[in-house]
Amino acid sequence: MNALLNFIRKEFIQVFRDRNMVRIIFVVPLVQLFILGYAVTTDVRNVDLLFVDRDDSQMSRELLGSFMNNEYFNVKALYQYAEPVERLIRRGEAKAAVVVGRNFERGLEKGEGVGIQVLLDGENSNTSSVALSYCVGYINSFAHRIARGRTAHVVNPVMNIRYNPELESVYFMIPGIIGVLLTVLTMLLTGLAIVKEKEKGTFEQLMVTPLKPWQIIAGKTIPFAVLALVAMGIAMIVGVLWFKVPIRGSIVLFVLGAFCFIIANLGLGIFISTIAGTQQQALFTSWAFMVVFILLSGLFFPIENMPHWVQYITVVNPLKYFIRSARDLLLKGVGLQTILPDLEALVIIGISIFATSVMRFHKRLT
Amino acid sequence: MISGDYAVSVERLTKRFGRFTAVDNVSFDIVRGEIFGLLGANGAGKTTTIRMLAGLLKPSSGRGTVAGFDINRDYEKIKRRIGYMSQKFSLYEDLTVYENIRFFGGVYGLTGKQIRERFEEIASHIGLSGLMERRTDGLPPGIRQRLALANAILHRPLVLFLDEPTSGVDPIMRRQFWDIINSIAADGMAVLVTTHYMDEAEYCNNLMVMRDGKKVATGSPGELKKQFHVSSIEEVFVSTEMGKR
Repeated sequence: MNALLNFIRKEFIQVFRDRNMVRIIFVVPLVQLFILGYAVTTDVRNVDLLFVDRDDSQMSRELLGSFMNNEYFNVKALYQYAEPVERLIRRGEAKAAVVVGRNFERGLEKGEGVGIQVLLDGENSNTSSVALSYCVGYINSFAHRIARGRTAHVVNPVMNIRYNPELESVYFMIPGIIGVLLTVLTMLLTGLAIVKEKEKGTFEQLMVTPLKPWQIIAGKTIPFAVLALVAMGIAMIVGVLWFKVPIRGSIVLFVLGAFCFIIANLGLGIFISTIAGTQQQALFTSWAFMVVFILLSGLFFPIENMPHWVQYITVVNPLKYFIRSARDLLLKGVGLQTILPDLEALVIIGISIFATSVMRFHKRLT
Repeated sequence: MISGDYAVSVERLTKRFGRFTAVDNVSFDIVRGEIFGLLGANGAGKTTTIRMLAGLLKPSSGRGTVAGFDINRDYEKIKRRIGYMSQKFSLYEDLTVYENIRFFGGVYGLTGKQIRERFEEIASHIGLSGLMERRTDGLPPGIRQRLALANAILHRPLVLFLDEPTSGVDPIMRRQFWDIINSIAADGMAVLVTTHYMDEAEYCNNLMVMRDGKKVATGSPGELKKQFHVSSIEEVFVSTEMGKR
């Protein structure tokens, strides 16, 4: 036990002596948080919308009214147009257009079906699909009002989006950022720390000591697990205080999930150190793992939309389970029952990769 | 135990890497207090021999003991009783002298007080005093080499392995270094040292000259010179090299 504490102390001294390491651990997460929190937003706000009103009737103006005065759209009304709407969208003058036909009011009064055309710039599929759903929402609520006898001028449109009603992508992102952060701090730094000793020759000195393999592994992993939990705490505090991310579920469960996730990553870090001979190789290997993990985690792209064979690959992706359980916990406030399968998957992945890595980690070479 | 009296005793030790035989049927014994030199050109198998004895490498065949323990079976027990200094400076460069010796001493189960006392004793003896708080990456090569030596004997090993300890150090420093090794051996520690500096071979009690993994000559420096009818170890070495061509 003393040998282990001795090792951990040495490891902490080395981490804090390296200014760059301290920056990686404490500053990079915050920068990531702010960049992803603000810049990489999938929120849809201030979309330029053309409202092409060819009817110019009371009804059509009422519909126009329901698109006004919200933060989602910048509405520009057009009563006659010189060129096709498509061309305006192609030129980038608007991202979306709602076109009301000439016989709109008459059609409604006669009880005939009337069509409203919605055109969207699909360049950014994310933005446009969200914008489309808003448009449909406004049109539907307008239709409701009409159906109730056109009395309800005061009725506001009701958008029925649950759990993240503001569609704040930062709420959605923060669990993901924390997942990425934990991956960097555990998998990457552990792998690098071991390979650095190999490169410098100090690893050979460790191998001629009576230290047991598990002591070396524990000594190399525990400090980074602790640092990762501290960095996660900082990210959470910023997320809650600055970005107002809700914590609807149990914080204890959240930390438990993070812990299971960390074990899987530390195992991977050791695995990388057993196949990489230099820090460069370790960095590239970790990078390869991380890109695949992040892309196939559901952080940016929903897993449900991926081809089936890709979905099978995600079964072994620890980041996927962490992000899913963290989002469920923070945003939906679910209990242990719901996230248990995710935790189980993390523990199974963690134990198998850890066991494999430890078996590959020898003190004596053949 | 094959031979309890010997600090190191190996019989027909062999190491093959694929089809290449790095160490070929080598046998030798080292007694306590002896300085035993492994002499040979680069690639002669000196480092591979040391690495097998220190439990870093598994022998392909042959048997032997180090500090009374079997090198094939009890190599982890051997590790507690040996000191090892590799060609490359292998202390942590980002740590201070004290942090290094506290770490390595702690690994061998020494207490902080023991580490301090023993290091002060060694340090005053070999000229390392007053360097406790210095980072090792800022120290000159001669000092670093002595520090690595101090670190290797802090836990009072029975056998000390030195793999080309003086490479890259100036002649005066090398001379001082050998004085230190002599006094260590006088305390009863067995020292196995590899070198390719011929003048250093004269400091050893016994020598083994290796070439292409094989033992080509063995004996004390005096015996070797007599055997080859030459006046220096350098000439012994040259004639072993030439003789095989």
